[in-house]
Formats: sequence, C-alpha cells, structure tokens
Amino acid sequence: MQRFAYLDGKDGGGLPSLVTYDKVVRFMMEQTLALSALGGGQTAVITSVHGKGAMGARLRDLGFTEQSTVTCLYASAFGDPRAYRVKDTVIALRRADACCIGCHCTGGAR
Amino acid sequence: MNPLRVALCGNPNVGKSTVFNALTGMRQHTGNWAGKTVESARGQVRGEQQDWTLVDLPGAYSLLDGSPEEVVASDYLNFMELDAAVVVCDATCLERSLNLALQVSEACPRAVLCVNLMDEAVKRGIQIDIPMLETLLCMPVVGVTAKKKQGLKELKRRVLQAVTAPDALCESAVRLCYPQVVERAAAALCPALLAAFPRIHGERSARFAALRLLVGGERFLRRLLEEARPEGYAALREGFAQQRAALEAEGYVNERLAAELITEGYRVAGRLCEAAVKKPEQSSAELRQLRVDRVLSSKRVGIPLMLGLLALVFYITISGANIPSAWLSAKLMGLEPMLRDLLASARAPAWLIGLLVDGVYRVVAWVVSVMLPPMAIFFPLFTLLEDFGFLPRVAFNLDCCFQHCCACGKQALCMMQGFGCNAVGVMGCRIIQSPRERLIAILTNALVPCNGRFPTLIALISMFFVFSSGAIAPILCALALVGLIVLSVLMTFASSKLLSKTVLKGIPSSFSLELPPFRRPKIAQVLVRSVLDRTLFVLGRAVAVAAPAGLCLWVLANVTVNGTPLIRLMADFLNPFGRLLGMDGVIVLAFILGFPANEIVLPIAIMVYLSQGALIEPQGFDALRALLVSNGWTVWTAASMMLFCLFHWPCSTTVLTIYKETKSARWTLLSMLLPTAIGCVACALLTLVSRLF
Repeated sequence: MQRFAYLDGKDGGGLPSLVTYDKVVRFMMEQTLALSALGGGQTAVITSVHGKGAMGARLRDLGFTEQSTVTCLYASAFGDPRAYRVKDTVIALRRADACCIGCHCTGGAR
Repeated sequence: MNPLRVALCGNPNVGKSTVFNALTGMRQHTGNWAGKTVESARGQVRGEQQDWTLVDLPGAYSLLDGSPEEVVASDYLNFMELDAAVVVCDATCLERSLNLALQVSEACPRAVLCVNLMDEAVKRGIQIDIPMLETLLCMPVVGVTAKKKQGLKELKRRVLQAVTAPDALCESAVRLCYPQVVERAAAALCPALLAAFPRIHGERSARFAALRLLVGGERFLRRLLEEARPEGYAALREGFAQQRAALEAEGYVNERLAAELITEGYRVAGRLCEAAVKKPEQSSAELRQLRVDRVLSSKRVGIPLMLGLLALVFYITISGANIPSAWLSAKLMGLEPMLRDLLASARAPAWLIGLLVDGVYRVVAWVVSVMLPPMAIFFPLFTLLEDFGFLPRVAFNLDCCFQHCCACGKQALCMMQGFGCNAVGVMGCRIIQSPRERLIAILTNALVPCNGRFPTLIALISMFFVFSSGAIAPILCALALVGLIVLSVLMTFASSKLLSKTVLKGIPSSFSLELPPFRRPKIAQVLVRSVLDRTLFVLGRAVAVAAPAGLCLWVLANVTVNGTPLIRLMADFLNPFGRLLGMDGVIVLAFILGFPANEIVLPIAIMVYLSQGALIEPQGFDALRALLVSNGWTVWTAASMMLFCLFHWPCSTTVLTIYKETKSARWTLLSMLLPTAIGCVACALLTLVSRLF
C-alpha cells in the first residue's frame, strides 16, 4: 500500500527510483495485447472483443466477454489452436480468432 | 388428457441427452463432447398425474442468433406451443449455463432450471446454493445427477409445478435489463409479433422474439414472414424497418447490439454466481486434468500417443474377435447340413434348398461369423474413448492440419464418428458452422473406414500380410491397420485441400472447440449396452441386407445363358477393369453388389469363388487364404483390395444421408465420385508398381 501512495502523489517526498519502477511495471501490465500473444499459464482480463460479424457474437457466447478473466493453458501438438480457460470452461481458439480479443495481462508464469 | 409438451435445452455437453435418457428410459447416444446430439429426439415420460412428451433439443450457446441447430432450438422454444422448458445446466461451469438459462426463461416463460452434474461439482469442491439461486431467479431450480438418476423425482415435481403456475408468476422471473433504446425498440415490435404469431406465449416471449429480430436482421425477418399470418406481414415489415433505423441512429448497428445483449446476460449470470456459488481456487481434479491435457497435446508425445491408443483399440478388437469368430463359424457351418436335411425332409424342391441354404443362409452365416465379432468389439471400445472425452482432444491436435487445408478442425470429430458409421459421421457434420467447410467434411467423410469395413481390412491383413503366428500377430495386424488409418486421414487432408482450392473455394472461417473435462465412463454399462446394441444392429442388417444379397447371388450363379452362369458373365465383363486395378472381376462385382452395406463385400466375393466349383468349406483364415490363392490372389491383389476398400463409393445408407444433408444430387454424386476416383488412381498406381517387381 505504501508504494501506491507514492504513485498517487499523495506523498511529495519518497523515492523517485521506486516510483519510476512501479510506473514501468504498471505500464507494462496494462498494455493491451491480443489474446493470441498470451503465453502458457498467463492470465489476463479481456478488454475488448472485436470479431467481425458472427465471430464476435460467437466469442462472447462462449464466455469471452469484456471484464472476464482468461488463462492460456496449453497449445496443441502443432502449436496453433491453443486452449484457454474462461468462465470455468476450456475452449480452443485458433491464433487468427484469438487476435480479435484484446486483453491485459495480470500475471502468471510464462 | 393430452400429454404435456416439454422441451429439454441447454449448452452443448451439459448432459441433456443423459437427462433425457434418465427421464424417458430411452437410450439416445451420449458422448463427452459438444455437438454429439444434432437431431432432436422425442420421448415419453411417465408423470405422477400426467405423461409428458419430452423433446431433446440440440445444444446451443446462444438463442439470439447462431448456427442452424441453435436457430432450430431457439425457434422451438420461442414459437412452439410448449407447456414447459427444462434448461439443463452444468454445475461445474454454472455461469455460462446460466447465461443461456436466462435467455430460455425469456423465450419460454415456464422454464425449470435443472443443474446437472452435481456429483462432479461436489468432487471439485464447488458449493451451489440451490434455494438461493431459486430466490434470485424467481424460477424453479433443481439439483440433479442424471448419470446416477438422482433428483429426477424432484425435477418431475417442479416441472408440473411450473406448468400449473399462474401466468403472472412466470412473467415475474428475473429479467435482463437492456439499454433503454433497445427496450423501447423491442417493446414497439411486440404488438406486431403477437398479431402475426398467435402462438407466442405472451408479452415476455414476444419481447425476446423482437430482440432476436433486431439482432438477426433481414435474414431472420425473411424466415419469420414465411411462418407468419399473412395479415401480420405489413405491420411486421414496417415495424422492423422503423425500429431498426431508430437503433442505428443511436449507434446500435448489428454487432454492437448483439454484443450488448450477450454482455448483459453474462453480467447478470456473473452476479447470480457470485451470490449462489462458492468454489475453491483450483481443485486437485482440475490440476490433474491440466497435467493429462498437457501430455496429450504436447509436441512430442501428443500425436504418437493418439496413434498408440488407436493401435491398442485395434489390438483388443483383433485378438478379442478371433475366439468368437472361430466359434461362430464352426457352429454356423455345422448347422448347414442340419438345415439341408430339415428342408429335404419337408420335401422342399432342390432349387429351394439351394436358394435358402447355399444362397441366403451362407451369406448370413459369413457376415455373422467373420464380420460381427470385430464390429461388436470395436464399437464399444470407441464409445469408451468418446465418453472419456478423448475425441475433442484429437480434433484439437489435428486442427492445425485442417487449417492448412482451409477446413475446420471439427471435421476430425466427424471423421471419428465415421469410424463407427459414415452415415452418422455425415450427419455429425452439422456441428461445423460454415456451409463450405461442412460440405468439405461431408464429401470427404467416406474416406475413413467405417465399422463395416474394419473386418474386411483385418481379415485381409491377417491372411496376406502377417505371417508370424502367436501373440505377436495381432500386434502387427493392429499396427498395419493404424497405418491404413493414417493413410486415409492423409487422403482426407489432401482431398479437403483439393476441394477447397477448386469447387469449394474460400478462406478458413473461425474455429472454436470446447475441451470438456475428462469423465470416467460407466464401463460396464457401455460394454454391455453397446455390444448388445451393435450385435442386434449387425444381425438386423445381416437379415435385411445380407439375406437378399445371398438370394440374388444364388440366382445369378444358377441362371445360365448359353451354359455360362450369369455371375460368370458379369465377372468376366468386369475382369479387364478389375485387372487394371490389380484385382479381378469378382472383387469389383463384390464391391458393386456390396453397395447396400460394406460388411457384405468380402462374404460376397468368397461366395462367388465358392460357387465356381471349389467345394471346400473354408473355416478360419488359413482355409480362406487357400481358397483365395487358388483363385489367383497374390499379396498385390490383397493390397489393391484393401486400398479400394478404403477408397470407394460410400454405402447406400451414407449416400442417402449425404443427399438428405446436402439436398443436392450434384454434391451427392461428387461424394461418390471423389473416393472412387482416389481408389482407382491409387490401385492403378499400385498395380504399376507391382509390375515392376
């Protein structure tokens, strides 16, 4: 908690180096990236779903809605479709379709 | 009293068919993957006061808009006269199930929520507060474990309660709140819809139909107008155009509207789950599952493991089939003289004895003794893999290849259904959404051998290619069979690619596949049930198809033209063609006469050879091999026949199914020509190679 106080600027003094470090970390974490860029074991929160036509609705039906948490579990034998866990179900998506989903990474090991 | 009309709906793979079977006592096929049921089944349920007619609808992720099957389910709930709808939910992923349940309760107000798989939820430490859910949703909720038949009585009671509940109570169930503009547009369309469709269940359903109309657009309107009362046409069309324009003015174009509606559904579902469901961070069952899945889909082990498992299934089939096969063969052949004597003592004329015993009885005996045992063993084993949840993993691993062929990975699921029966596989292609990819899957389905072709392949491999005897023979045979399967899968890829580059041009559409949790199959039940079912099915087919074929063969063998039997003439006529393909006229004739069912091809060929004078009674593969060799067979002949068995026209049932699914004679014709052409080319090439030796 102490560290966030520096960030919010409530405490004028503080350690500038620490502030910069935290800012960088937060900046990196909040970068929006495509779901397809997620590595195995990484977790993210979905920020946007912009599939064309029926695909957007289909992805949402499957549970890929904004604000939901999604984890990339593993890739298939040839690497392309990957399995994601969303809303307690495991769903395989191709890279091309996972590109339609924007998210920001919240953690997990690569 | 008329039976109550109740519909069963829910997400794919939540156990709708299991609930259906438990309620009706019927035996619909079930499997652990999304899209197993593609046709709605009907059954009768005995209620305490009143019977029901229960309809098992195909699984749907959404009722707003989607695949043809989802539209069928949605229309049924929305427009049919129903007394109640049962929404089956998966207790282990309630949030997604609830999203659909909310839509169902809007489409059909008298809905009962049936939370299935309660035992799985307990195993994972998930606690579901059913009374709380009921209070929040304002609709009846029942916890059920359909597999163990727990909670069904309560479900029946609650359905009856829902049917008799006053309208006002049903209308008061939880309601999704959409943005005001959308609500206004939907409300404005309601009167027109109610006027055009008097069967709609009330204001609540009409609102849902209006929302579907706004999301579905012109396409949905056209379908509605086909069903609507003519006097409602104008109002409906005009209202739609007006409201659509109003929404567009507010920025709600197609995609945004659908997104808004689904997001609202999930928002409410999420809140409900927060209040009523308690679950641990990550259960040990989940972690175990993840570990198994990582191995199954890993780069090095994944594909070899799948092939190994297939080989194991074949090994069990082959080594298990030998004993009943030999026993059946001995018994049935032993019965033949008795039958002959019996007919003779009844003073039957010689031609009738020939017709019945040499014709009908022998072919049936052949089909039963050689073909039945492998079929009755392979099928239940494959069912076990299916129940375990293995099939979607295979589709997951193979999707990359299909993507390169511009096809859909779900085609792998249809192919695996094709191992059981190509007709079922063709019907299973409905799970593929894109019409182009669906057609590719239908046209190439017959390239994978079905259950009826496995025994032929097994017999040929063990007669001509596996020379060692003892324990190692079935292993070699199984490996050879796996090799053939790999060949047919590669051929499927090649022809899918060919089709998508020529007559069915297009880019791959989207692909999403649910990987269900592994579930322990009820082994004893599956074994008993599907061995029995399969045996009865093959026996039924043997009587229906093999018996007439035997009759036909006997007539052909005994009607002579200028002293030559007709069958000889036909075989001689086909001989040059057969030679070109490395076979002979008799084999080609057998394939042609075997059009009704693939399992009678080899028996027909043997019967024809036998009718040409060789009066031995072959028992077991050794004697059979001697018979075939004496008719000029070599290893190359057997190889050609195996290739042609893999790649030739589909059987009559499959052709009919293809016609029903595509509704086009041209595609049906292509589906017959494609495998035949592949088979002819492959056999001709093989013959060319064989000449070099």
